[in-house]
Amino acid sequence: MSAEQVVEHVTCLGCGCACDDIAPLVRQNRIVEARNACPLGRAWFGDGTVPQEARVGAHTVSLEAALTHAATILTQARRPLVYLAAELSCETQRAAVGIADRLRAVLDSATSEIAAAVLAAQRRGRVAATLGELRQRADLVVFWGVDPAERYPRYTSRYAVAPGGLQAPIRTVVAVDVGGHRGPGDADARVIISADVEVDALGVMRAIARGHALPDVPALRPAVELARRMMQARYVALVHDAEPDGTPADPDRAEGLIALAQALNGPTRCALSTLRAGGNRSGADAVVTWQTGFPCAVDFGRGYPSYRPHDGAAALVARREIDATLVIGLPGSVPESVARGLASVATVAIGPFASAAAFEPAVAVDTGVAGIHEGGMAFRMDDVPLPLRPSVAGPPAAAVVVGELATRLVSP
Amino acid sequence: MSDQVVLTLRAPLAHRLEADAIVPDRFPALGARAIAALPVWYSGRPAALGDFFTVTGERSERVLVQGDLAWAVGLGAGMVGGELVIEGAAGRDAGAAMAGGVIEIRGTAGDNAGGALPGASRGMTGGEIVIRGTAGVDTGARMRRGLIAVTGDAGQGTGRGMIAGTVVIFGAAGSGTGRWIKRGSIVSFGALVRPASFRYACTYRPPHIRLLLRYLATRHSLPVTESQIAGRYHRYSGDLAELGKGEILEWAGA
Amino acid sequence: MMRAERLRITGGTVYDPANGVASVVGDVCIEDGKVVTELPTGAPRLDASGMIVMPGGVDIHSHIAGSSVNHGRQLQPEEHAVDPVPAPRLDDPDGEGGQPTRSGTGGTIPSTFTTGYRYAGLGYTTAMEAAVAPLFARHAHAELDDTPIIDAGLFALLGNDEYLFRQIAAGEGARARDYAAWVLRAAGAYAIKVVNPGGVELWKRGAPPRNVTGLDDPVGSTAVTPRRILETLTNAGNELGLPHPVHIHCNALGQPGNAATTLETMQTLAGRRAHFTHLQFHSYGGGRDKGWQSGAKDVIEYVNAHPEVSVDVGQVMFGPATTLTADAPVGYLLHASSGRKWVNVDVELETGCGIVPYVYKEKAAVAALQWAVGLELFLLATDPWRVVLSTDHPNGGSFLSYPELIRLLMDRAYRDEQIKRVNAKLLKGSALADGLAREYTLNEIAIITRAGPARLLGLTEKGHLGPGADADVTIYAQGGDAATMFATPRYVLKGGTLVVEEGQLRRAPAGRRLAVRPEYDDAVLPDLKRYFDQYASVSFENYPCAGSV
Repeated sequence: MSAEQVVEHVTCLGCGCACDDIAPLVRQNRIVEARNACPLGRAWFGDGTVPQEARVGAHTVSLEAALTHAATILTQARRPLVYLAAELSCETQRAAVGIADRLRAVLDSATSEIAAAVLAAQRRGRVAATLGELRQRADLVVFWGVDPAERYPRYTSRYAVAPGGLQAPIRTVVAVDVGGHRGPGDADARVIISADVEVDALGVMRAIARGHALPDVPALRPAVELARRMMQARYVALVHDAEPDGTPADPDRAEGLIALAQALNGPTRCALSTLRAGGNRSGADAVVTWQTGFPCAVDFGRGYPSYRPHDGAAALVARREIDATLVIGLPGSVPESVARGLASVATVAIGPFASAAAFEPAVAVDTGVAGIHEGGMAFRMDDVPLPLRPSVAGPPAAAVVVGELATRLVSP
Repeated sequence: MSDQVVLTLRAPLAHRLEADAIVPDRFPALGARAIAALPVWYSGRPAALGDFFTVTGERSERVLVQGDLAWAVGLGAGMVGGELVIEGAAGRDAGAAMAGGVIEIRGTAGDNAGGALPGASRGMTGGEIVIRGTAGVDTGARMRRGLIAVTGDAGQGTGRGMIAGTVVIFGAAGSGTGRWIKRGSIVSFGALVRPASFRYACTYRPPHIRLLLRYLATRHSLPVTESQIAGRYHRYSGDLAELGKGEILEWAGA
Repeated sequence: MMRAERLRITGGTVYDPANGVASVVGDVCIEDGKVVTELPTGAPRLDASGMIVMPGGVDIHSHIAGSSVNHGRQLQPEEHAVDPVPAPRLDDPDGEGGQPTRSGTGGTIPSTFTTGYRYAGLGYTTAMEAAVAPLFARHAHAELDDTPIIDAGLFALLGNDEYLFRQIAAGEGARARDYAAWVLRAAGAYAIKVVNPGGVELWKRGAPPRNVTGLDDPVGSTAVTPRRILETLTNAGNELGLPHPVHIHCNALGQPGNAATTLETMQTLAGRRAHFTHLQFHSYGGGRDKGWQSGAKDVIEYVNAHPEVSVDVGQVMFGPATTLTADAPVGYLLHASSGRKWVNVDVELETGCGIVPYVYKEKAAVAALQWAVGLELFLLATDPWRVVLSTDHPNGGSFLSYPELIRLLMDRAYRDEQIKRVNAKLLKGSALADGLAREYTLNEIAIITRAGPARLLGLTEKGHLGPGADADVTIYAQGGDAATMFATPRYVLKGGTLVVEEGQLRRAPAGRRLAVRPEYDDAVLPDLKRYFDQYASVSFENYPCAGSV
């Protein structure tokens, strides 16, 4: 093996853009440079070094011993939780759901944090497009309260704005500032909507798309004008962040966006582009859906999947109903609402940096990171499945460790 | 057969009790033992109703439940007839997707009373829910027919996406009340912030409200005043983001 | 008895139409997962006396796995909540029979494991996922990996593919064929699928007309028309020698008067092998201003007279359904007319996707007409080898309704009773309303549910019980009506493994994947790579599924 090599066409899971043109330069099993990656991607790849330990409490043990102990904790639990954290391949996620099914556990992921938006899509459906399609078609791109530069750095350069497409239209970019959530600074036009009328604005815009007249409300005039502009475009990309930072949004915001995008397909075409973070979160939704029929917050307690979007992991952990937890994936990606309860629960952590988990798991098994040390499949934010190409060797693969654990669990 | 079946909670609930077996239209066929054996799920595990409640009476379609049932989920969900009286707080999904009968909650109602289950196009399709207290979010969401009356404040998104039916709120209505209704009526006696996609129609003395309030006074003994019964109401039509055939009626005094 | 190395199924009444066996009492011998002519006398036996023995069912057109299917699943928690499926209890969950079983949910789009169990429980052992955007093929394969028991393949959507359009516009027929072959390999697919050729592209373009209205409408370039797309892909499929010819979902699905479009499409391709799918949705008379009526007679008469044509019916069954199609403009129209929830996904450079949950009601005039049109196609067809039973699951209804459909075909008295229940407003003058006496025989049912589809798919080891066939066998107990019999097979063998015993699922081995690997001239690759670099959002190198090209 040569001292230095470049791995081509690597998919980055640093954010939901899942750019698959990364070319890490590897020297002595270290990533020296993640070529083509944005700053977020470079931070995600790092140098490829991760801890490689199996622990029970504070003691380093063999993988074998750790998994045996983990199996004991989980099979003895009365009300176990299996939590799908980030940085897993779909293959690992599939095995993890199988464990939850066997244990009759509660199964959840960070998607429960945005359950209101999931439920809105289950009431209304959604109109979407793959990122490449936005590039081919959109002549008007509306960033609704989000500037992708920060959390999705290459979104505009790779997909929605910069590259020419089939219909090579002249693209117009509109930034909508919703309270403190601002659109891109270099947009062609800017619309300002106060946060407290956001959902109202979405409703009024939809009324206009449906041809209904409304009384003039000064605070909503910019929204009305924007709606008219959207109706005159040929194909509108309406871009929003599914996981905005900061204060929790109005639960009706997601439904308002979905319904507006749908209604615009009467007078014109419109797709809602939903920005999501990386680590194959979208893959977890897909896998949990195909195996159970529901995307998150699944309770296997009855011996079959029940959907509990209003009573997910955070609520169960907070009221101490859970007596053992299996966290699979990067512990640092577990939302604070869940993580803060885990310190008082017997927890098994399997995933990258498991041994460094802040909630001090009873059993920790370090694995590699999907896409850096392990192959498999992951989903882009638009549900396009991509292959993962490992760049460097690492700890045991999560898919293997989770599979090993599964064989140690006896059906209850 | 007895006048009613009384279910009394033995001990406070610490976890979620899935209690959608408590559906009064099923009880006329059930003796006390069969009632006690009805399946419930507590903390995700199977149990029997009798594990949590003492059962008095049998074979009646009037069911009285006593105790703090804030953790009991789905009381009367999907019921098609009979009468369910909850003396205490009720958990979420009480009367969700019900089709007939009456539920009376003498305490705080949880979220989604008379509402729709996840993904479902319709909430309650008939019957009545009277909440003598405060109601949670999504009360009557997506209801298709029927009546909900709330004596206290109602939560965010009350009546959201209603297809038809009536929600009467005597206290303050939460934000987003009436948002995205297609048809149906929201009647309000307290504070209410209308969605901007409603349009003022007129101020009048609606005859159907007169009938409705008299009914609530006589049938459910709600403290309705004559000035409410005979009063003037501002009518706003909406939601114009949808069909626009619904209404919010705000009491404008005598 | 687990996966029997050898098994003699004795004394059953065998229906094996591919081998000319109809209602013959005899034995079926199985060794190492295959049907063999003879076994030593001491081989284990399964007594099928008094029972009906057929090859395992083959579904030529179904939507069970992949991105669109999963969007439809995620959209409908309400149907999953009311159809919970505990993990089946196997007699030997960790043994040779396969992995431990899994719980799931049902409804019109069951979870993957449940899909596999339910197909097997119905006596079906092979199913084709009929619409996969090659971009999403990797996802479809992953779902099929979680769909036990059945052998499955997928059809790759090519009828609105930008690169293909470019070859048509440039008159590059050979390159179009090479491209089709490359896509089939890249997607790990089994056949070429065409959905509303050109129409989905116009929907995505975002300006009127948003769909094609005829076979000669230009799609971007005047050189690219539905007719040219159909000809190009039909020729490609036949020249590549694919086991299944091009699988066509015609233009104008679900519109009154579309029988004319369907017939024109068939005439365009006359003399060339082609399969026309869910024909029921394409066999309406009348017209935009003339309303709806049945056009089944004209369409099926053409099919009867043209041996190069095969079809599946896409029967509508009353009850819940999910319309789930690459024909995205149809999804929009259904949403706009029904007000129901709606998913649309525009898929770059390839296709679209539209999903709208739906309920077919007996009392609804159009639904009743659709139901009647499907039955007319079945009952007026003269060659069962070319007319396959399907509901376009879950579009016309769940695959679980096949037994009920079989009863409608086999039992005239029952059928006539059902006709009385439905809204007759649009049925006037239809063949069904005038009375169709035909009753399908068991042998004909065996043809339209296994022997025929296997032959049309070119699956030489499926759909029959001759030596060398896969030991996929379904055994039904007689008695009761046809619907009951077909809904609850007593025994099902898959590749020699007894998966259903005494009506209970007993083993759940993994299924196999069915895929083709046609040859192509790799001179197409440099141009294709340039095209990917210019337009695609996925690297050329990351597009093919692992090990497929």
